[in-house]
Amino acid sequence: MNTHYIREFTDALLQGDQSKSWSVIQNAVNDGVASRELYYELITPAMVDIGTKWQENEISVADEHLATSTCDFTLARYKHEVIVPKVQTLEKSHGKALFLCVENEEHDLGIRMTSHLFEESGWDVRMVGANLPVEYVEKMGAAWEPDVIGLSASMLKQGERVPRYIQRLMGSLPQAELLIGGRFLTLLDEPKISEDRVTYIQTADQLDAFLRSRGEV
Amino acid sequence: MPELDQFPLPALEVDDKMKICDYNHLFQERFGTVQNLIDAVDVESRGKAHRFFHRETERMELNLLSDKGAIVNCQLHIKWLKGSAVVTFIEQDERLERLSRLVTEHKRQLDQTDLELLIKNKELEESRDRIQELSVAMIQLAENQLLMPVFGDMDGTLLSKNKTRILDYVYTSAVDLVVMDLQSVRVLNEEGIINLKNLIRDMKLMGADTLISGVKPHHASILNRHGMLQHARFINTLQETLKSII
Repeated sequence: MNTHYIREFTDALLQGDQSKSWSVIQNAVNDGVASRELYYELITPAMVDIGTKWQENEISVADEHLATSTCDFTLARYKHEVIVPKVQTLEKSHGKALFLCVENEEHDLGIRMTSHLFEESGWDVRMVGANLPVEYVEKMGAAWEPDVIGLSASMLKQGERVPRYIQRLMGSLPQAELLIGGRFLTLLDEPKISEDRVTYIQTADQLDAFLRSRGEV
Repeated sequence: MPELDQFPLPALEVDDKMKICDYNHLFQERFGTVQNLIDAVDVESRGKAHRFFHRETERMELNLLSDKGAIVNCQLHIKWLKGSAVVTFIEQDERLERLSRLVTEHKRQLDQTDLELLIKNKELEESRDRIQELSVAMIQLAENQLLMPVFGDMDGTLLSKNKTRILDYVYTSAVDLVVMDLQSVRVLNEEGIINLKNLIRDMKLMGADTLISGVKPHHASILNRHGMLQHARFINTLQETLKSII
């Protein structure tokens, strides 16, 4: 991905300029950039840049909120204008997948993008968003019976809740596989819980491998 | 310099290594008792604190950990003195935080409603399938004869939903005559006729002829347009049909 795109997109997000950020996405789509590349090589690096700017004391948390909500809007528009028409005729034959962020975790852009990639690969997807207590997940899991539950945490502090989610969901939803992702995985010192039905996703290649192993379209 | 306890905000005095020399009760209430400011900073913000807590910095944002273990975003205002600094902590505007919580809550309610609607829709679809299944009954009249009264609208879905079930029954019960009664059919559209024709053809291949009874006047023209006389025999009423075959 052209670094010019990333810089232009980051600037548009920080200015809260929805039409400019959408036009960067549109240009990339017109250049033939697919969702996977767009998410992993444009949107994610731009959001990482914004996080780094806060760490470097260059921007405030208010700037970060503005950038996040602009990115959220852009992603919603991308889904509406690009993904939905594409998946309308696609048979949802690979199973059902439910996506969420653990309790108190508000950073849901990553899991939102992952849910889109599942949709494009022929999965029936429900994205239930940020900050979802495990009791809600159990309730939804029992009602909708997903084959896969994707959990995400960004902050290390919220990532500490993940083992409890794994333990609870493995017990209450014995048919579901768990996918664990998010920035917190890169910050962990301790080894992760290893279980048959649990897969950790840290890179685009790992997500591709998972989708391929479950029969990607 | 005024006493820290006179400050209306959490405040403390630290040396240039962030070791705490003094703090006010508001700081203690919110962030607990710590020896070094860094101990009250969230682990992910510690790098930033170490890099930017120096004499040139007058203002910075850090995530701190409250006494209850929650992450609290604060703006630190730093006043450097000779060998130490006085730091005051302004939490992220409560109204902004409340607004952001409300937006998340609304988003979740929408998602929840959406999921509930999806589940209801799934239940409705199952009920509809069941109704359609019951709309094509199969009654064994004799060893080799089957009566199939059809109810409701014969559109594109009615026969296609029941096709496998009908063909399985015809195959396993080895019938050679199927009497299809259309007396209780209200609507008969183009797609319904195409499915009917295909079903009759499939049953014929399995050795079963079709007899159709109960054709209403408004069904006759569409059946005729599709040349149905070539595919099945027609009889006026079911009563007459039953008399003639049993």
